[in-house]
Order: sequence, then structure tokens, then C-alpha cells
Amino acid sequence: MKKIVSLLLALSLFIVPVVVIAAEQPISQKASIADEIAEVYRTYKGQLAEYRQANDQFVIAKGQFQQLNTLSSLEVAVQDFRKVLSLRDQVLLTYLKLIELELIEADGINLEEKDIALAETLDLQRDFLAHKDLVDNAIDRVAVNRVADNFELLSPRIVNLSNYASTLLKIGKMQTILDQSLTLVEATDPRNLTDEPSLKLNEKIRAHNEITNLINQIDTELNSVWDEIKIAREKNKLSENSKVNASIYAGLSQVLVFLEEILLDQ
Amino acid sequence: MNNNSDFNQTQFASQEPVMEDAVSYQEPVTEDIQVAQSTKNRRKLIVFGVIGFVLILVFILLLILIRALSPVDTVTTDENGDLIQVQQGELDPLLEEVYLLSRDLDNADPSLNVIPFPPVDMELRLEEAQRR
Repeated sequence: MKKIVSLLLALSLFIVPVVVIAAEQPISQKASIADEIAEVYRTYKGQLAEYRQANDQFVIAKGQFQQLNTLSSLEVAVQDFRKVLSLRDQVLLTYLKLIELELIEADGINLEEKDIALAETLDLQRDFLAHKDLVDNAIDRVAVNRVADNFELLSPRIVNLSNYASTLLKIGKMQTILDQSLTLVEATDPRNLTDEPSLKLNEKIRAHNEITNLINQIDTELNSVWDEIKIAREKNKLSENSKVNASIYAGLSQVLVFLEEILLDQ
Repeated sequence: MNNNSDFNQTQFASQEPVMEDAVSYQEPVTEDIQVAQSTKNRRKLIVFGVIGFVLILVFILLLILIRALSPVDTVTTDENGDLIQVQQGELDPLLEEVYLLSRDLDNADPSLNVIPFPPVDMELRLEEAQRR
């Protein structure tokens, strides 16, 4: 009998945590891509901290070489320089991976632009990896200086890509919100209401038309932004038009306020 | 006083008062009593075990019930327009969708950069040291 009682208690103690854990489980599971982004971001932060430390060390070594001008201080400075160059490449490589994942996950981006941005991201990843190999294999001052000079070819490309991807992500988000708002506007069309008094119905139709016009206006603005992005990309002169973005953002905000008003009135 | 120091020889030794406390008589423990004691203990253990098990089961059932009855939180805005959480069932699904879109719009603020450029020195050089 003792055994049975002990078994029952042990069973209960086992059931409690299982039930509690099961009850705490979220209904929907996170998308794997979002998990990967979080993981890469953590790695990126760690690498950035490592780079900063190496950079501080290099600055000290460089200062000592400038003061002492001896062969041993030169050796230390060269080795520290090589290390910081390698870590910088590593940070930028992880940053490129982050851009790649953010682009893959994002909705609303013009597919042609998305493909081009992704292709450039992968290209740059390859080039940075090759550059990092050169840095790691550079053993003397001349070789290290040479690979540092080579970086000048990569530097503008990654800055350009960062601007490009950032613009695509911002516009893509606004495009998604516009598309979803359009679906909501269609769902709230008062013409579908049959039991509404005609006076009230006309008022609702006018309000609905107002929102539709605003959405059309934003849609036109967004289309012209996509065209501008394409032209700027082709000219390799991508710069953000923050004025246009702010205007679209304000328009979307207004659409949502109008929609809320209509739905609360129903 | 110690009565042993009494030298009265007319008194028999058996009549002398007992000096020490009488040893209390204990009945020998019989086997029946031991068995009864053991059964009593076992019964106690069973009662406590069953009560414990029932309490744990009730706790689990309560937990499940609370989980099942509590509605899932959703997002809406208060009078100031700030996003707050309310319980599901109070909102029109379309209205709820609007509030979720408002939250997405906050995250889509064009002044925010999702992927800011890493704060690294893009012009690292050793040449300055060489020239000197």
C-alpha cells in the first residue's frame, strides 16, 4: 500500500510540471527565420564587441610604434592591425547575413528589387570572405597594407547595399500595411449593408470613398517610390527620399484612423 | 530524612518505609498491540497520500480551467491613442485588425533603421605610422 501511495504522489509531482509547461506554451510558434535573425544578431553584437576591443588594442600599438619606431613595436602594430582588419571583415560579413535574412523575411518588397538586393548581398558576402582570407594570410607589413588598400573597393559597395536594403525594408513595410488596409477597406464597404437606412448609408458611402481616394493616392506615391528606387539603383546613386517616405507614412496613419472611426461607428 | 539512619530495632526491616519511588508496572507489549499500531500508521499514511493526491489533482484541474476560461489578450488603443491590451471577444475582428496594423505602422516609422550600418572604422590604416 505504501508503494501505491508513493507512486501516486510521484505521479502527481510529475504531472504538475508537465501540465504547467504545457499551459505556458505559446499558441503560435515563431517562424524559424525570425529565430535565425535573432541568433545572427546576437553573434553580430558579440563580434562587434570583439572588434572594438581589437581596435583599441591596435590604436595603442600604433601609438607605441609612432613613439618608439622600433622593429618590435612595428611587429606588434602590424599583427594588431591584421587582427582588427580580420575582425572588421567578420563583423561586416555577419551584417551582410543579417541583411540577407531581413530581406528574405520581409513582405511587400517589389520582387525584382528584392532579388537584385539579395544577389548583391550574396556577391558581397563572397567578396568579403575572400578579403578576410587575404587578411588572415597576410604576414608582413607590405601584405597587410595591400589588403587594407583592397578594402577600398568593397567599402562603397557595402555602404550602398546597406542604404538600398534599408530603403527596401522601409518601403516594403509600408507597402504591406497599404495592402492590408485595402483589404480592410473592401471588407467595410457600406454598399454591402442592406438593412441600413438610406441617409446613414449615403454618409457611410461618402466616408468609404474618402478612404478609398486616400489609399489610391498613397498607392500612386508608393509606385513612384518603387520607380525612383529602380532608377537610383541603376545609376548606383541610391539616396533615401525621406520627405516622400514621411508623406506615405502620414497618409497610412490617416487611413487607419479613418478605418477605426468607421468601424467604431458601425 | 534518610530513614536508614533510624536505629529502632523493634521495627522489622520489611516494615521500613520504601525510600525510593515505586517502579511503575508496565504491561509487556503484546504482538496484537504492535499489529494494531502498525495498521493505524498505515491507515494514516494512506489517508494523507490520498488527500495529497486529490489536492494535486484539484490544483491541476483548476490550472487547466483557468487557462481554458481566460481569453487571449489582444491589442487596442486607449483614449490617448496608446496601444493597450484588452481581452478578446470585446472587439470587432476588423477593428482588431486595424489596431494591429497601427502597431505595425509604428514599427514601420521611416525614421527608424532596422539594419543600421555597423559602427566600424572603414578607413583603417597603418601608413600614418610608417610615414613618421
